[in-house]
Amino acid sequence: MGFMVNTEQIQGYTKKIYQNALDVKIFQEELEDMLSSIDKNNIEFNNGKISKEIFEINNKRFREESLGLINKINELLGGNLSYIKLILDNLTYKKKKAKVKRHSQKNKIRAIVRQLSNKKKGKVKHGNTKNKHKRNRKHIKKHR
Amino acid sequence: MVIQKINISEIENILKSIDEKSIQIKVLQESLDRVNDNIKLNEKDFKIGKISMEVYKDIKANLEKETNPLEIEINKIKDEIKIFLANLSEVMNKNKI
Repeated sequence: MGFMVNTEQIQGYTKKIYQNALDVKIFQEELEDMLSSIDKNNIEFNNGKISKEIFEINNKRFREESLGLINKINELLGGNLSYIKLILDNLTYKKKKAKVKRHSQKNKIRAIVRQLSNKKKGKVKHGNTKNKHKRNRKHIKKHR
Repeated sequence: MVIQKINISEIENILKSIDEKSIQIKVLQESLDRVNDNIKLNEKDFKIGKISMEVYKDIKANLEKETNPLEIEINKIKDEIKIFLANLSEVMNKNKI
């Protein structure tokens, strides 16, 4: 049986994307107002309607608020991109990776040392078939 | 100062299409589930000797014929949704500041 797509989950994500998009629009409108305020503040200062001190205070505040709004907008859009990715993940079947036992470097070294010490002791399992045959022949003679 | 705002109606249309497509997938998946249940039932009937080998094979072949088009249709809709999602990502990236 094929893998099942969780359609309820997809619809849940689309709702969240829509809500975020509405919020983005609201923040974009606020940002537009804020940018207009920056322009207006500049004009007023250039026309001598406000002092340098007030201009700087306003300018700092408007810029900080604009930055905050830009961050909020980008955060919401980033959230939407994550929801899009989640929907994509829901549509695509991913095979679970099989757990592969990896021998650590330590184990490998231990195995080599064991092999070498066995060779020294003459406990070599493989090879040396000549002796094995001799032993077999002796065994057969004994039982005859 | 005027900034380019997010196009809500465009997003709404894309999301509506995705929702519709996901409902279609749900319906097709339910049909596929029913066919798979029948495949299992057929096997069970054969095992307990309720039906002969010939009947079992006949039913099995017919049921398997039903699953293929359903799976193809589901995959087709999934690909369509992926296109909508690509368009949606584009809209989101376009609005980043």
